Amino acid sequence: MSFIESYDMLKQLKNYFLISIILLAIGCSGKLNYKDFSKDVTCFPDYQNVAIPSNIAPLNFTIRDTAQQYKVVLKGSLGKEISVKSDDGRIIFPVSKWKALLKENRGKEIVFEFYLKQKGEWLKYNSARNFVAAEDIDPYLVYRLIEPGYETWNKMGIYQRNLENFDETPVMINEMSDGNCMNCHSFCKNSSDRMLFHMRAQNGGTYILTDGKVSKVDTKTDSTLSAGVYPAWHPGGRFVAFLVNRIVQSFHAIEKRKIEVIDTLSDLMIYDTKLNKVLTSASIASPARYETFPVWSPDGSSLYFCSAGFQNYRNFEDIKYDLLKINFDTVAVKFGATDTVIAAARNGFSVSFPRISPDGKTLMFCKTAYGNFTIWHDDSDIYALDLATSRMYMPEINSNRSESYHNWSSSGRWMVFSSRRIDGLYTRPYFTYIDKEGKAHKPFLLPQKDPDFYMDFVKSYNVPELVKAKVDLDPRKLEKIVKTEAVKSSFERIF
Amino acid sequence: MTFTNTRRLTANLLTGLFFLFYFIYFSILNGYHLMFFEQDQLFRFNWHYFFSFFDKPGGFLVWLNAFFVQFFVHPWVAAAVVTLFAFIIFISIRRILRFHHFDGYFFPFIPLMFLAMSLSSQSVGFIPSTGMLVILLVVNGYIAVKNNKVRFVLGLLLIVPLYMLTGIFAFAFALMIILTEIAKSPQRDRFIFAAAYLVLMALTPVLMRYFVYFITAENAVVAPLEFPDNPAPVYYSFIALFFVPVLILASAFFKKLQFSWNFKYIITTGILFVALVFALFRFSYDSRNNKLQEIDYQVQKSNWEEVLKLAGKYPGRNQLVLYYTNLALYQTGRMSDQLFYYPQSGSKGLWLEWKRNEINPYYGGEIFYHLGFSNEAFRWAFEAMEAKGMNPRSLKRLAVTAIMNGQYDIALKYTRFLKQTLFYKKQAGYYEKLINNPELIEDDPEIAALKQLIPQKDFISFMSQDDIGFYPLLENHPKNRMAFEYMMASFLLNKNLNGFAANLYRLKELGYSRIPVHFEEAIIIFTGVTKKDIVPEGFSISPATQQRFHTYAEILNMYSDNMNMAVKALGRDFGNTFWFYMQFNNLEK
Repeated sequence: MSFIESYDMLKQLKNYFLISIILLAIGCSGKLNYKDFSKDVTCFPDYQNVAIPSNIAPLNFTIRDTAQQYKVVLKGSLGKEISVKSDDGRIIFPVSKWKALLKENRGKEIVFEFYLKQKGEWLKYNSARNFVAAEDIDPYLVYRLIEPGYETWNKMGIYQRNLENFDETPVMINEMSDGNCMNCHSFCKNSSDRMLFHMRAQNGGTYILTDGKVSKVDTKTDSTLSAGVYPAWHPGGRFVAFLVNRIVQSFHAIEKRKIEVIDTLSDLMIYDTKLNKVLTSASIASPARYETFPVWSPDGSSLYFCSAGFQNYRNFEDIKYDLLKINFDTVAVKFGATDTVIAAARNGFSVSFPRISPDGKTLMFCKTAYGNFTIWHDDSDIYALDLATSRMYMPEINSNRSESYHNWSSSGRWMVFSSRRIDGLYTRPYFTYIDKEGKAHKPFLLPQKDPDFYMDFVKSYNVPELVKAKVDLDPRKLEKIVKTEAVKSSFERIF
Repeated sequence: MTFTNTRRLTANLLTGLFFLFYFIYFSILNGYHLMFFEQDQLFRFNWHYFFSFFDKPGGFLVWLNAFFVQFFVHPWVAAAVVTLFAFIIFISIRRILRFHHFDGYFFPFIPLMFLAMSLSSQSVGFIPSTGMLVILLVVNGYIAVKNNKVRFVLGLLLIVPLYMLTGIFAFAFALMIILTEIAKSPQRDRFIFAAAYLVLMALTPVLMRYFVYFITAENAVVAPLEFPDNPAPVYYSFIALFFVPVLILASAFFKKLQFSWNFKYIITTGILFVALVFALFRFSYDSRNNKLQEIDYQVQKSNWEEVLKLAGKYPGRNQLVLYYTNLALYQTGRMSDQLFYYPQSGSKGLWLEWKRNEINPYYGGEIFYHLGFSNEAFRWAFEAMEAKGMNPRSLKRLAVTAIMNGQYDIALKYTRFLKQTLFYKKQAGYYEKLINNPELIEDDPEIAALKQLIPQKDFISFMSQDDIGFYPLLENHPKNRMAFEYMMASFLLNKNLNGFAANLYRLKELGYSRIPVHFEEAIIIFTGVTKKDIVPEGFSISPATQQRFHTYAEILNMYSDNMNMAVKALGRDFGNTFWFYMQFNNLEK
């Protein structure tokens, strides 16, 4: 048991203690005499009228309306209920009761009833109806925690959070690897046993986990611009598409903008995990174009990627990425014809982060005015493209601040995405339910044990990825590999 | 008066003198240096903050240390806390030594001197003092237990939690109790006790590293201390920490070690003390650093006259001092008249180069804030906070620049942290008042004035040796006087007279009533070389400046064949002119 786990246990005990007192208080108080008050409560996080999976941890929240006392009754469709009382507005649900209630209400509605005691009188505010989806969400979320900084970093790490409770454990932290940068964790079809991530500077390399073994490779070759970044696993598990690039960061002067991240050169390449070989082709590495953000179709027959005509990076507002698609033959290891899926530049916008649903029907992407690094673009919204009809539409999950990195759950019923909607700077993971009709429901924020957690937390959740099981890696296991030499990849040009 | 009383009185007197010296050393000579410890952290009354320390051994100690360091808000208070800690450490060591019948009254001063040496450095901070204090108090508690078996069990029970709470300091504890048992325990199995402690202490970091913490092997041993580039202060703290076990060991080996209160003892102790004081001043005390921190403190208080006074006394040339001096010159309206009254070293003294370290972003954002370049000031403050961790200065700057930018959500995030402190709560409250009532911003003269200067037309921030974006800042706000004066100063300091001449026309639109002295000096040179009249319409060169140039030229001609002599002759009366800088800046070095 790690220290963090022990510490969590202590906190759990504290919570049980608090809950016991609360339950006792409720028991003593009996039924409330209240007046109806037709007003919505203001809660943070906003967990009202959302669709949630039955296996999600309790959605603890704080009621921000001023009151002497607060009471929330969570009612299931079958009559079971949980009642929580609070003096400070923090509503913390008991984990086991929450779980039982949600399990019982799969595919049904649950209701939050809000009672606030104001001026000595209990008022019943408008209730909130939440829908418990029939489909569970993948139980783990993997992300990098890093300050949303400019150039400097200090402590960072890749962590995994059990979505069914509040356990968070590190996959790797840079305190174990000389403080270097690490990024680009990526999973093959949401699978925890086939994944990779990068480390930079000293201990640099791509760390690839396959079948319980970690290998460390150096994908930089003399014929490619850099080591691979922004990985996308081929569903077959053998190939990984990467971006190779030269990148610059620039800083804006006006208050509405902060950072511009621009590729000054960029190509795609394919890494063959079996042969430790880097493959590229003129069709995905054109000197006349910037290619980026590769992603495979679920059947592995095509590679989708963003592509923009070459411009001087100083004219960054003119760099607009289209969405292209190229066929790939996994047996012959050959590319085929290229198609334009979204002609964004012609229509005055730019596409980034294409992600295709596991059923291959919907492609979600970020739409922004220019460029590809959308987390710093307030105008960036998540859009959907129906791949059968080419209809493009905006699901109702966006805000007036940046929505960016997103990915699908293994079932395709859930999507996680990054958003800066709370304060405009710190990125937080949100989940949205995509129902069978393809409609995205109101998203909800990753729940925390302490509902005020995000107020005090100064790191961003970077590259949130849903995973089907816990990744069997931790900093102790990786520490041994960190100091080993990365195996150099070979290079081959294909057609 | 008996001999014993005389001895006690003398000892008390000397002890008093020692702590008086300690207090003076830290208040007068190191007060601002200590205050900077406070600027380097932010103690918050918040559970998330508290628990964030527990991911490493010694985390609790770091938290406790931060608690005490938050009071270092005045040189005298800081020195008082340091001296109080030293005194408690002294008493604790005395009690331990007494327990061992070790009659060396002045020996406890030795670790305190090493602690002072360690504390004189910025890199280690106050943690060794806090750690020693905690450990010695625990050891005192341990030796107070008379029952051997109870004491043994207590020792066993304490080692692991102490390691988790204090890290490396637990090793000193273990060493002290091992030696205590060997030296004092009457039981025959005392060696078994000692061996048990030893094994437990050796195993604790290993097991903790494999089962509890995600830390490197080095961290498992030295945390919460770290080895900076210059590790000497860490070694001093090690000496201080492990000196007590050495004394216990000495008492164990020399059972009848008694120091007679005689002339020889007093002289030897005196010489040792003088040697340590010498070592303190020779190897650890950094008077320049204290002066620099005092200047920095005055900058934070906007006491610009005081900054110039202190800068004038600063020995040698320090880029940060130059940078602050020039900022103070601008703030007091003297930049274009008295720039060369102070040492200069090109535009390096106007702004700090961007570097990814703990220093440059921390200090270097000051200029952007005063220029009204809010995005850049925010960026530097953000980078500083990332490099150094949460600190009051960066947080205040982040909050105020976010308010200037109208980004109230993010400003509230930072004021929330400030509100959780003892000494910045009030400031946070004021910021929140502005956030909740943005119309009140106009009543704050500083923020309102700077808000007026925020760029509205976008450009990409850049930094070079010559420029940090003065042109686009002036393009955004032609009346940004600071941008103008800094740009002109950079032209003069880089001897770029073409750039200077091309921007002289702005004097009029910026509302100058006369040409500043250094500008006049530069105009005379430029006109002399190019024969172009660049004096803007409505302005003229003052007769006094023309007369001074006449004298300057005469002296220069007098020593035209010996430049070294010319430097000496001109330096006295004209060392504060642009002419002298232009001509001899390289020679001066």
